[in-house]
Amino acid sequence: MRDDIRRHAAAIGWPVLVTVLLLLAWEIAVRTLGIRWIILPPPSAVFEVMVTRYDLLITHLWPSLYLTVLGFVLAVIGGIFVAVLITYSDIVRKGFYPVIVVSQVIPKILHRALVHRVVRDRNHVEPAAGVPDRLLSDDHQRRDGVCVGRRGYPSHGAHVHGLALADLLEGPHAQCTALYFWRDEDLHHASPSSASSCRNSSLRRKASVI
Amino acid sequence: VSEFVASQEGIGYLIKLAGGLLDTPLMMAAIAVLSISGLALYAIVAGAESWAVYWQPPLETAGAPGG
Repeated sequence: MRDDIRRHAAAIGWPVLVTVLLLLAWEIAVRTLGIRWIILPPPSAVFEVMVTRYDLLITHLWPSLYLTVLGFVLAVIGGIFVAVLITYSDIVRKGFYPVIVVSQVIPKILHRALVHRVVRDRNHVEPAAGVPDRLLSDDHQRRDGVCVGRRGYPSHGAHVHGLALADLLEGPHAQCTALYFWRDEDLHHASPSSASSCRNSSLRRKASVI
Repeated sequence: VSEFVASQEGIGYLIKLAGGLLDTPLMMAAIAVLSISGLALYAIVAGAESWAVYWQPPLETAGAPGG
């Protein structure tokens, strides 16, 4: 009984202790080295965001959790099925084992490209909510020639071609802004307003170089 | 994995969006939430395992008390 308690305490205590030490080191490193928060925020800032924006995080957590659990259940069902087949059938074992091995050595990140191809057309892209309105005014766009869409990205099928940073950081809470650029040939996909604001061809080139 | 790149919702999407907006604290917070939920799921599965195959000696892995 006593041993049991001690074992449990150790199983929880050591991971917690190490985690706390690592977080402390992170916090101290960021503060003493003066690392900008946009590069690496200290854990305290991360924790603050977790508290203040918990509703946003929770909203996005549920779909992920649902898909994770669903995927796990399907994998377990499929895995048991395949395991039974492999155990009881010589042909299946010999035939499928190489395929299974190959499927395991392909990096998972590569699935991303495959999946992305399939689903890209079905999704329209998210507004860049962080771009302040003054950067989106037509005047500003004409003067600087930056193609900053009110929607952030061209609406459909176009590739974001570059990212520029504006208003970068005086203090930790300074406004951060991301400007997206896209290629000339993608502009006909874009909404009329953003296309018309990029009439100047040299500026379009500049955008595509960036 | 597909959820991470394709959808309009979910933690992976939030990480990507926050990264695009250079809101690094939000990105880190989303990663932290992901880590915590990962730990929780692992603990649940490890607990279920030790319950289902109780005759097996517990594995020496971190994260799951009694796992």
